[in-house]
Amino acid sequence: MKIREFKGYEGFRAMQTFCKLVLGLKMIPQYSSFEYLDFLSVIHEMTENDTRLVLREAILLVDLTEDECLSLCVFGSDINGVPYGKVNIKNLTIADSVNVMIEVCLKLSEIKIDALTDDQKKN
Amino acid sequence: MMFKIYDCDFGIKYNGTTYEFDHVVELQIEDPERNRLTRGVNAKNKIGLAFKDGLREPKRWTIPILNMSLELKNVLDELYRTQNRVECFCIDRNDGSIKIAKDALLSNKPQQLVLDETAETLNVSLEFETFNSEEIHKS
Repeated sequence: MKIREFKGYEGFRAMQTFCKLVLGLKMIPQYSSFEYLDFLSVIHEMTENDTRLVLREAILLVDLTEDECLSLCVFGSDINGVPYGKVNIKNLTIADSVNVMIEVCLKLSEIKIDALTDDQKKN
Repeated sequence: MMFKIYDCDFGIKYNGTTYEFDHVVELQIEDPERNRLTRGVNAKNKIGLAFKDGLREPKRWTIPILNMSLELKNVLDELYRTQNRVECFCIDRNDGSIKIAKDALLSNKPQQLVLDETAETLNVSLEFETFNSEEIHKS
């Protein structure tokens, strides 16, 4: 599946939803010992398969609104290459929508937005 | 006969995917099929012979779609080029009745009506022809 480029407000909304998923996952006991930014770094350093597993866990456990789900799905596209939106989102089964969100989040996880500069991290 | 349905939900099923547009302003359906009467030239028969006219002509659906994505327009352009068949349906928001056009052919190349406010979406007029249509009315 082709993932569209993350641009404009849509892209920003997708990134925020991704961050919400990571934050939500960090809250479960298994990961609660991590600081948020450390947890984000851990995800960045994971292999693709491990990241997929973590993202699947996050998508299934974290409560997302309809808008938040849509904000991720719009970057995926259907079999005809049409991006998911109001006209075709109803075609997605639960498994399909989870898979679309995983693929989109996987791309988002490659984007690094650091709150700290490298110098600040050394300190 | 020609009739119009205002404020309906319109959908196209193509390649296993359904594209549904809510609150379509207007769908126009032209149905050329009709019963007609004829009689001999002496004009004495007051009952006449009944026959069906317009059976060779397909039913024609014309519908303007607002805010269509460029990617979907490209799919429809391809559909027009390949002459693949689709299934169209229309749900009347007033009474819930459903009209279905099976094995429909996109008869005109999708035309952009007017420029939309954004460059990302298009206002497009679609025209389908079919010989295989049915109606489902809510009782």
